Amino acid sequence: MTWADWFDQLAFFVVAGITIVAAAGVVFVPRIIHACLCLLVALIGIAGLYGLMAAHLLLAIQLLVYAGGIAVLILFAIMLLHRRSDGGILGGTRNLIIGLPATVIVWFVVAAAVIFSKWHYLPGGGTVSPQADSNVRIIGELLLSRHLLAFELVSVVMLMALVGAIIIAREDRSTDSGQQVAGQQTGESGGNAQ
Amino acid sequence: MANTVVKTILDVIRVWAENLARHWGIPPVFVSILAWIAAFVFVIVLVLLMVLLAVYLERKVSGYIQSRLGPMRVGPIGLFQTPMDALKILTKEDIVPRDADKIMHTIGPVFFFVVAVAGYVVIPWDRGAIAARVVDLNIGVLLVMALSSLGLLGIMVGGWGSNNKWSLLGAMRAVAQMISYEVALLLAIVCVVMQAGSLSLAAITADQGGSLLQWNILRWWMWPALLLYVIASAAESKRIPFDIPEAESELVSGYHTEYSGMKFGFFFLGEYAHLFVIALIGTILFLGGWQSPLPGSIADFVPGFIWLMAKALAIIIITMWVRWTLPRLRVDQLMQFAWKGLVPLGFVAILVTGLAVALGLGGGGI
Repeated sequence: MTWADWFDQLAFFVVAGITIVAAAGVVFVPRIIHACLCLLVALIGIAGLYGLMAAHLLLAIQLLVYAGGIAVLILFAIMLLHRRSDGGILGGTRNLIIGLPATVIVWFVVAAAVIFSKWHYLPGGGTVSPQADSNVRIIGELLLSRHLLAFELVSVVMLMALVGAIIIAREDRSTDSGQQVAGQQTGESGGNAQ
Repeated sequence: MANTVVKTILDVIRVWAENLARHWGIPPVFVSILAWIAAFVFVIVLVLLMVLLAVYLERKVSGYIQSRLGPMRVGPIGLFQTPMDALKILTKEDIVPRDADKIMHTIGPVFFFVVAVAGYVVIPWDRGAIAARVVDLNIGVLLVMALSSLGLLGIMVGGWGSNNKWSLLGAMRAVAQMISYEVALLLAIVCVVMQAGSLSLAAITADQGGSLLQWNILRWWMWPALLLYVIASAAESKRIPFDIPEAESELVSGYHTEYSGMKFGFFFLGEYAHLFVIALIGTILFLGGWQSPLPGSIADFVPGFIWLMAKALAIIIITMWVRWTLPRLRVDQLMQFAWKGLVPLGFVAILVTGLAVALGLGGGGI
C-alpha cells in the first residue's frame, strides 16, 4: 500500500465518520433546529464522499441542490413555524413502536438493493481517471437520449408539485377578503416579535 | 511573455521542491499535500489583503462621491486606517446575548467565512495556476456557485441563533433574496458555459483568448447574459440597491445585529471575500480572465495575475460607485424584479446565445 492509497483511505474514513456521526445526530439530537444542522453536515459529508470518488459533477449538484437548496428550505420552514421556546421533538416510547419496525424494513430493503444489484465495475480496479474528459457532457447526453423519458417524467412531477404548492398557498386568499388577510399578517408579525 | 515568466518561476519552484523531497525521502503524496497547504495559505493571505484594500477603497470612493476626503489621519492618505481597524476588531469583547443559541451563534459567521473563501480553489490566477485543477476541469464555475449558495446557511444560522427579531427578519430576507437572484445568476452563467462549451473556468478563459475582441463583453450575443450577471451579482453580494437583508433604517443591521468582535469580523470578511470572488468570476466570464487585452504587444510584459487583479478591482470599484449612487429597493419590488424581470430575461439570454452558438458565431464545442 503506497502513501497515496493510505492517504485516500484516511480521507475516506474521516469524511465517512463525520457523515455517519452527523446522520446519527439528525435522529438523536433533541432540538429540531440542531437536527436540521446535523442533516446539513451529513449532506455536505456525502458531497465530500462524491469528491473522493472523483464524481465532481455529483459533488457540485449535491452541494447546490441538497445542501444549498433543500437544507435551506427545511431550515426556512423550521424558522418560520417553530418557536425557540418549544420543547424537543423526541417523543416517548409511542414513536418507538411504529418506528422500530419501519426502520428494520427500510434497512432490509436498502441492504437488499445494495447486495443484489449488479454493479458495473470500471476497468482498472475501479479508479476513475481524473484526467478523463469532463463527465458533465456524458451525463447530459445520456439524460437527453437514453433516459429521456425518466427525465421528462421527473420534470412533469416537479411542475405538478410547483402548481400544487401555489394552489395550496393561494387557497386562503381566495376565500378571505383582503382586509382579513392583512389583519392576519400583522397578527403573525406581532406574535413573532415576542 | 510575462505569462511564461510566471509559469517558469512556478515550474522552477515545483521542480526544486520535488527534488528536495526526493533527496529527503519524502513520499510525493506529502509534497502534493504541502502544495495544497501552500495554495490555501496563498489564497487566504490574498483574500485578507484584498479585503483590507476593498474596505479602504470603499471609504475613499464613498468619500469622493459625497465630497469628503475619507480616512486621512492614519498613515499617508489614510492607508493604515483599515489595518488599524482590523487590529481593533481583534481586541473587542465577544458578546453573546443571554438567550441566544450559543452553538449556532458561533458557527454561523465561521461557516459563512469558510464557504466564501473555499470558492477560490478553482480560480485560474494565471496560465495553469489553479489550486484544484482537476476539480476545475470538471465543474469549475458550478462549484463556485454551489459554495456561494451555501454561504446563505451561515447567514440563516447566525440570524436565527441570535434570538433577535431583526436578525431573524434580516436572515429571512437574505435567504429569499439570494435564492431568487441565484436563479438569474445561474441562467447568466449557463450562457457563458454554452459559449465556451465547458464548465471549467480555465477553458472559459481560453475561449476568450486571442485579443480584446474575443472577450465575451464584446460579443454582442452575450450582452443579455452580461446585463443579467451585473444585476444578479450585485444582488448576490447584498449591496445597495439590493441590501434589504441589512437595511439599517428598518432592521438595525440585519442578521449581524447581535455580533461583535471577531465574530462580526468573520461576517465582514466573508462578505468582502464574496464580493471579491464575484468580481473575479465576472472577470473570468466576461473580461477574458488573466489574459492581456492585446496579446503579442507590450501588454504581455504585465503578468496575467496582475491583469486579473486589475480587472477585478475595476469591477469592484464600479459596484462601489453603484452602491453610493442608488437608493435601496423595497422587499416586494426586489422579489418582483427577480422573478418577473430577470428570470424571463435569463431565458431570452439563453435563447440568443443558443442561436448564436448554433449559427456558428460562438466557439463552443456543443
